[in-house]
Amino acid sequence: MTDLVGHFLIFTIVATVLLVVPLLVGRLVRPWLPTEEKDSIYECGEPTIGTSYIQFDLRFYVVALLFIIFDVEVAFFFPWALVFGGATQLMDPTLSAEARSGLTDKLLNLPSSGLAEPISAETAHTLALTGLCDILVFFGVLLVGFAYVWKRGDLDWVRAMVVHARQARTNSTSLLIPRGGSASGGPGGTTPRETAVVP
Amino acid sequence: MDATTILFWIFASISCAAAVAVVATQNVVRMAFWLIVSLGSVAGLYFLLSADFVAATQLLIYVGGTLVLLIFGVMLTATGPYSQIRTSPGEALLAGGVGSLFLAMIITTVVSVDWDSLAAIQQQDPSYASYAHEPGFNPAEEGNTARPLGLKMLGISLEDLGRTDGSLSHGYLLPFEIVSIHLLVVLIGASYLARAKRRSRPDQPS
Amino acid sequence: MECISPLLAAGSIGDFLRTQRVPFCGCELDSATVLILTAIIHAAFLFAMFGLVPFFFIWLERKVAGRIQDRLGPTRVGGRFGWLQSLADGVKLIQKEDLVPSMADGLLFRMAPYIACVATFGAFMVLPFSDGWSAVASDVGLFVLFAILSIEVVGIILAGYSSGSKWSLFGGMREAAQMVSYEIPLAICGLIPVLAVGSLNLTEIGQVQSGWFLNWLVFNSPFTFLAFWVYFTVSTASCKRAPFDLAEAESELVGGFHTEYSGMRWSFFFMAEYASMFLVSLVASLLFLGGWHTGIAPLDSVLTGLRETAAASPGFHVAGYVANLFGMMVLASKGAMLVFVQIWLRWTLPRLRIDQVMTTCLKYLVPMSCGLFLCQIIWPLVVISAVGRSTLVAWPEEMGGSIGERMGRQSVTRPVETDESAGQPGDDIDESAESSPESLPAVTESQDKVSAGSVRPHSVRTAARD
Repeated sequence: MTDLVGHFLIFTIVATVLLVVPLLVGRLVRPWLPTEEKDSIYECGEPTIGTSYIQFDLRFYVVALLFIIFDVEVAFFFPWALVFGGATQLMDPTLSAEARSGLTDKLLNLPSSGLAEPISAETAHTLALTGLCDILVFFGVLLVGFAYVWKRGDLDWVRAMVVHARQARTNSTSLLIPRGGSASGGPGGTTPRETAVVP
Repeated sequence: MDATTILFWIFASISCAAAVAVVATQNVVRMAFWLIVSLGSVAGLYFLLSADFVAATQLLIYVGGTLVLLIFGVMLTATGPYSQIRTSPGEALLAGGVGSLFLAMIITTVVSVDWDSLAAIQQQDPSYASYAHEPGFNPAEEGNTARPLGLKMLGISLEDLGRTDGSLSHGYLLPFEIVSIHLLVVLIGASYLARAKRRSRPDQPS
Repeated sequence: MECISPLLAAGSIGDFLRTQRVPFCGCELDSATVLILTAIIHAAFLFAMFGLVPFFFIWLERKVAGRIQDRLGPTRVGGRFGWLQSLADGVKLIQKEDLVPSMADGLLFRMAPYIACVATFGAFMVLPFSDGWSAVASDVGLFVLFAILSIEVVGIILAGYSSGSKWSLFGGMREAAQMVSYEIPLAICGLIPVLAVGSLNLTEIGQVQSGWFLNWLVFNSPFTFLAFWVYFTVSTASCKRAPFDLAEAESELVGGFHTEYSGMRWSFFFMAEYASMFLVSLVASLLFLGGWHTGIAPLDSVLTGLRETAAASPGFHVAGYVANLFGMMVLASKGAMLVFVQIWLRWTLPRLRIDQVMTTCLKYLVPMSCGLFLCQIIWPLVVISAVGRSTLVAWPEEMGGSIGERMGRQSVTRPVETDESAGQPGDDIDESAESSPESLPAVTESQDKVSAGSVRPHSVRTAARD
């Protein structure tokens, strides 16, 4: 891994140096005439009103939090997928002895071929089924959470619209929502006026 | 000095310096940036320990994810420009005291361990020795940890292979499932908090 | 010139440097110096590519955009097709004033473009351009690649936040929400071929797809086929390309996160964007479209044969080198094709709204990729219990057998570690191995046979020869 870390460090340095070079070359040829107007923030030519460091919408935070949770979950999938993939390959009863021993060494992380007894198709089947149950429970629990969040409307980006649509549905006035079925916040269910709240 | 040691020193000093910068900075977003640098260098240290999977996870989740969360958090709370955090001298003194106590504790622990004899003990222990010198399917330089970790998640420990005295370890099957419950709790908690905030301002939907 | 031939003869730049002596003192290079020199050479060659790729694709973008809109696009600089348009742009950009708004947070504002570029550039580190031609060989290459690529978002957010402009802030926040959420289906779709191959090593994933194009992972199962399209959509979004380019939506946000940037600093974001387009397309080619294989079995077997002979032979092997170079061309053209489709999409589809972008991810792409992931998990179990083998139709022997078969054979041919710790098998590996020393000669013999056939060099013969 020293190799990887060393490379990453050197790559960072090389990239930084090679990006700085055109900037330094540019310093020789480019103008530098700052004026107050030039240094101000661009707001379509108007004088800037207020600061831009404002309080932002909460839903960005919720989405980020949701997805970091999913990120953690996906990170757990990676090693699991390696083992499960190896196990399903070993399940194939038509596998040649050579390939079976190669896959066994790979799966069990053994140094060289021929040291371990190759994993039989039956053992691999048990292993794969264990893996399946393992991931179904793991994934299932998370999907319950996802379904809960979905149901409670935390995934709806434009909530005003959804509330609006729900009210419209309960009043059974189909005038507001022409396509009554697609009121769940999908692209079909939006009307131009309501999208004004989109940041 | 070999390359690993040099890289260790580089990354260790970057992570320490960035950690100090986190404390010393007053601007919240710069703090988040220095925190990312610090966490990223810790990922480098994990790579140097041949823990490739953990290191990549650190990069993916902390560096790629947490900063986003931090910045959004700042945006939620920020009212003034740059949301400066100023510490009073009393707070700085208190924090400095707690920090140096903790540092002293770590230093005493590190110094009190006799590393040479520990290494000797580890070499004598057959299970440790075989584990430590196990080259694995891939050369250690390319990383070896993902598959053993995956097997542990299925409740299989590679150290148990060929062990006959029945003292099997259980791997991480249960922790793996507990993690999912834990994540579920966090998910529901997050959405609950978000709603609680929303309910308090019913006149401003979304 | 006499220094070139030992360089070509050595398996990789690192191997070559290890045999060299320092010109004046005559002592051998220590490992740290070798590492640093190797890394610098890799970085220099990859950076040349990192710089040239945007040059080419920006020209292509303008040309394609022109043609789609019934214009000619660039025609003047550098001859008939305006080849050198990007160079002219670059020269112009160097002369532009480098502005930092007075409201901006100077340090972060200046730093942000570097972070975006370094993250994209670093991800090229683990990418194999041909069999074994990657700067760093890693067992979890795909995961490391996704991890390094995910740092790019830091650069974008910092750019948006530190500019002090409302447009930048909106762009940055949108980008952050979009990147974080699209990372999930991206990773899950990347996992689907990994489930089929059982490896995260990009070189191994590439190698397993040799033979006829039916061996490509996109045709491995119905779910990998669908996953390819989902992956492509998501990767387009994760490079913030149209129709998902909300972060820089010109019509509403002026320039999005780069509103306040000017000159070279502004162009760094574009270098990063075009390089990461190429990167995700190369990853798509490696994961789904056969990597450096042409998909024509007779041709591929010749090329693979050449590569293996080259790897086994001690000296420089011109044919093997050419075969690898050809493989790199094949991979690059597959990647360029996908980039072309991305450009085509940009000039065809209208931009989505931010709520539509988020809904597409949250309510369509995430459930779809999760569903495909679960189906791909269950698929082999069902197929094996139904037909008794891992493929629906009996895979002919000349195609290399099932994917497990190809993978297993590859694994056997892996070279055995030769350093001192690897010599002794661990005590607790297996009783049969431990108790039968007479079986060891057989093992070594088979290893010899194997290594004569197809030992592959581990570290790269480099990207260095781009």
